[in-house]
Formats: sequence, structure tokens, C-alpha cells
Amino acid sequence: MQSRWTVAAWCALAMATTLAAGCSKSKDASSPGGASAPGEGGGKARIAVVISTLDNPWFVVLSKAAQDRAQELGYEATEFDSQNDTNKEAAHFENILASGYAAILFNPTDADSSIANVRKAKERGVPVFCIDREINASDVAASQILSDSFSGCVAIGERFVEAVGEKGNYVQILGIVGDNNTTIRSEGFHSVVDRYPDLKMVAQQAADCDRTKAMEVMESILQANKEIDAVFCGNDAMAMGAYKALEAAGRADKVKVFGFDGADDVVELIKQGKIEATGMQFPKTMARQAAEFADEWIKGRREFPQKIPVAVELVTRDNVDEFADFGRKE
Amino acid sequence: MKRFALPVIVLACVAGLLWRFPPIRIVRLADAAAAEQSQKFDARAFAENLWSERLMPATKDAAGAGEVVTAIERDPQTAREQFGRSVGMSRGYFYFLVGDGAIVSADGKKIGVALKDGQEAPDIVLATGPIFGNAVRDAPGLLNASEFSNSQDFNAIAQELNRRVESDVIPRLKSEAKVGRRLHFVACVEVRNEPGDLKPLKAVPVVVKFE
Repeated sequence: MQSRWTVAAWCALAMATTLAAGCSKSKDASSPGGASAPGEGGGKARIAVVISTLDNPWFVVLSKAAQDRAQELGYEATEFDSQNDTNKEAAHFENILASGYAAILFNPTDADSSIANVRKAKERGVPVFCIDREINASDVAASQILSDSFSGCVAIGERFVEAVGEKGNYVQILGIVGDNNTTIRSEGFHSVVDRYPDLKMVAQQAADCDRTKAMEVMESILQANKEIDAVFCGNDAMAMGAYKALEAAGRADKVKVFGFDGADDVVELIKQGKIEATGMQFPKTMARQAAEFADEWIKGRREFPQKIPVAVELVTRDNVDEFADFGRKE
Repeated sequence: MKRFALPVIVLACVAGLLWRFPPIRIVRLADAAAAEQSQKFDARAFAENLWSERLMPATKDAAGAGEVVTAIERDPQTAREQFGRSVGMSRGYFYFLVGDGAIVSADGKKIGVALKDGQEAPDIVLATGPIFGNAVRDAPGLLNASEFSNSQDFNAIAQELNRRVESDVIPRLKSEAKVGRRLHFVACVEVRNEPGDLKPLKAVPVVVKFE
């Protein structure tokens, strides 16, 4: 009888402990020993650089700038490509957290789905610094250094109306459907252009941020629409694709092309008067700042601004000579 | 009977723990949708409250337009450090200005105001067309991007404040502005490019009173 009571009591206690552990508060990321100190256990401390996709050259620049700055500051830097897949991203985080990285420089695949990964890192005492894209949470990342794409596309929209006029037909080529950046850029652009009812969007299609797809999409649109005055593309790779389609159709001098990113090939075509404008993001600035924040964290700083918007600058023929190599000329 | 006591006790303990710490919760779809809707950020309500409760009281702290213009003429960098406000990492910055002057030009999209008597060229142009950008949100320095977990909420506030200017300030400004007439203004300036945006300063008015 007594042994049965003992068994029951132990069972109940075991279940209570298991459930309570699942509901317990997460470990404070700032507690001592949460992050690996440089040189602990021998060798340099390591920083992980997790990028949404390395298929796009812009993100390759972002990743390289982050890695280079981390190495300059004395760390080993390892790149992880999430391939725009939240599952791959989660697997990278599991790997990183099991491998003793001191900090993570993170370009999220999705503003909501990526929160859980950052939370896990925080619970394990590893700081995460988001670069370029945000997560929709203010209490998990150590800091978020974010490209202000919405305001950048408002500026593009204003330039669009100035260049095209308040009346005309235009095309929009979107990036990846469902992607936060695609939505934000489109909303910024439309917040301006939709105020002019005589500016009519005659076609809107997605081309997955891909140059070749954008060219194919634009070719189809050109066949269906004889009167087009302008095209706005959600990134510069697609702007190049749209331009090439216009060039092949003999309509490049009649249709104004607008992009976003500040890629070198588009900046060059703006200089030549062939593309109207783009929005220069500053991947190197954001990446370097994130690496420097990580270094400060490892050395003991704990207070960082949660969100730091990084302005996107309008590049047109008027100021194109000020820009090169994904930023401003020194 | 006694041999069932142990399993019953264990089951009772398990039931109690599951009641106290439920692994899943079932919520009706309608209730979940209502909860989500109630949590959705109301940018219009936020902007209205910001406008009346914080922005209007803050107009007394705006920098004197004449002083700022003089400082810019002397040295734009010093003027920026003394009177300007930046948000995040940006070459651009903002001024929050109060002043009096005479209207020297008026077309459909902007009104030019000279701050000194007898001056013909405007020091400040007040926008009267559709308002875009973040000047009204950021120039007064009342909000911080870190306060918003979703940056789109922060962006929506800027849009709602711009709509407020369009509905409450610009109609009167457009209808009553005439060259030669004097007015008192509070305005938000965004400087994106130097020196082009400095002379005249391009401003969004938030308060306008005609003399």
C-alpha cells in the first residue's frame, strides 16, 4: 500500500516537473555565461551570418560585408544560406546554437516565422542582430538594423509621378509573392502613385526577383499592351530584365524603368539615361553595423536600440555620380 | 477496490495537471478572428491621438524658423547639429520650425514664405499638394521606431499624419493664401539632399494662422 502511494506520488511529481519546465520562463540572454567569450576554450570566437538567400547578388554583398567586418574585428565568420526556406533557416539555427557561436548576424526569411528562431537563440544566451529585414517582435533580437524600404519606395513613387506625369499607363513587376519585402515596397510605391487616378496600372505580375523571369514577364506584357509609359520593378535584377525586354522590343526609349536596390548595372544605366531611377539600399553599412554591435555585445554591452531604420536613397541621373558599389562613393 | 485506488490517483493527478497546464486550447474561429482584429494596430486612431495630445502641445518647442535659416546660411552642418533631428542611420534629417512671414509665391502645389520684410525669394515653401514622406512623424521627435514591433505600423502613422495635414491644414492654406499676406506657421522640414533642400526649405505645415 505504502509503495503504491509512493509510486503515485513520484509519478505525479515527475509529470508536474515536466510540465512546469515547459511553462517556465526562458533563460535571460544577458545572464553571465550566456555567450561565448572570445578565446574561450582556445581560438577565435565565432559569429554566424545567416542570410535569407545567396541567389541574389545583393544578399551576397550583405553577407560578405558582414563576414569581412566580423573578421576585421577578430572573429571567425561562417555563412549560412537559408535559400528562402524557413525550415532550412530553423535547421541553421539549431546547428549554430549547438556549435557555440558567440553571436548571429541574421537576415530573416520571414518577419513572423523567423521570430521563433531568434527566441531560441535568446533563450540560449546568443544575441541576434537582424540585418536589412525585420522580425515582427521587439523583445527577442538584440537589435535590428533595417532597410527603410517603404520610405524608399515612397521616394521612388514621387519621382515616378514627377518623371511620368500625373497621367499614363504603367506596369508593376513584383518580387516574390507573399514575401514581406515585396509587399512593403509595393505598398510604399502605391501610397504615392494611387493618389493620381489618371495613372493606370495596366499590368501587375510577379517575377520572383529574377532577371530572366522579369524579362519573360515584360515580353508578355508588351505584347498585350501597346501603350505603356513606365514600369516599376520591385528590385534591380527585375528592372534589368524589364529593360532588356523593352530594348529587344524597340521600346526602351519610350518606357521609363524604375528599380530598387542600387545594383551596379542599374546605376550604370541610370548614368546613361536608360533607366530612370532606383533606391540605393546600403547593405555594407547595415552589415558592418551589425558586426560591430555583435563585437560590443561580446565585450559586455547589453543596451542597443531595438530598431534602427537605414534610409534608402533615391538615385537618379541628377545624383548618380555620388553612388557606386552598393553605396555612396567615399 | 483498493487495487483501483493507485490508477485513479495517478489519473486524477494527470487530469489536474492537464487542467492547470493545458497543452492545447480550442478557440472558436470567430473568437480568434475578433481577438486578432482587436490587436491590429489602428494607425488612424494613433495618429489622431498623437496629433491632438502630443504634436499640438509640442509646437511651442519648435525652433525659430528665422534662427534656423540664418544658421543654415552660416554653416549647414552646425545648423543640423544644433536644430536638426535624425532618425536611424541616414544622411537625411529633419527640422521642426515655427515662424512668421509673408507669402511671396503661390502655385497649386506650394506656397513660398519669406521670413524677412521686403524679401522676394522664399526661405520656406509650404507644401499644398498631396503630402508624402515622414516629416510630420519624425521632425517633432515624438516617436521612436523601436516602439513598434512591426515597422509597417510606424509607416502607417506617417501616412495618417500626412492625411491629417491634407484634411485639416492645407484646404485653408490654399484658399486664403495670397501673395503679400502674412501668416504664422509651424512646419516640419525633411532635408534629404544638401544643398538643394536647404534653400528654400521644403516644409509640411501642421499649423497655419493668417494675420
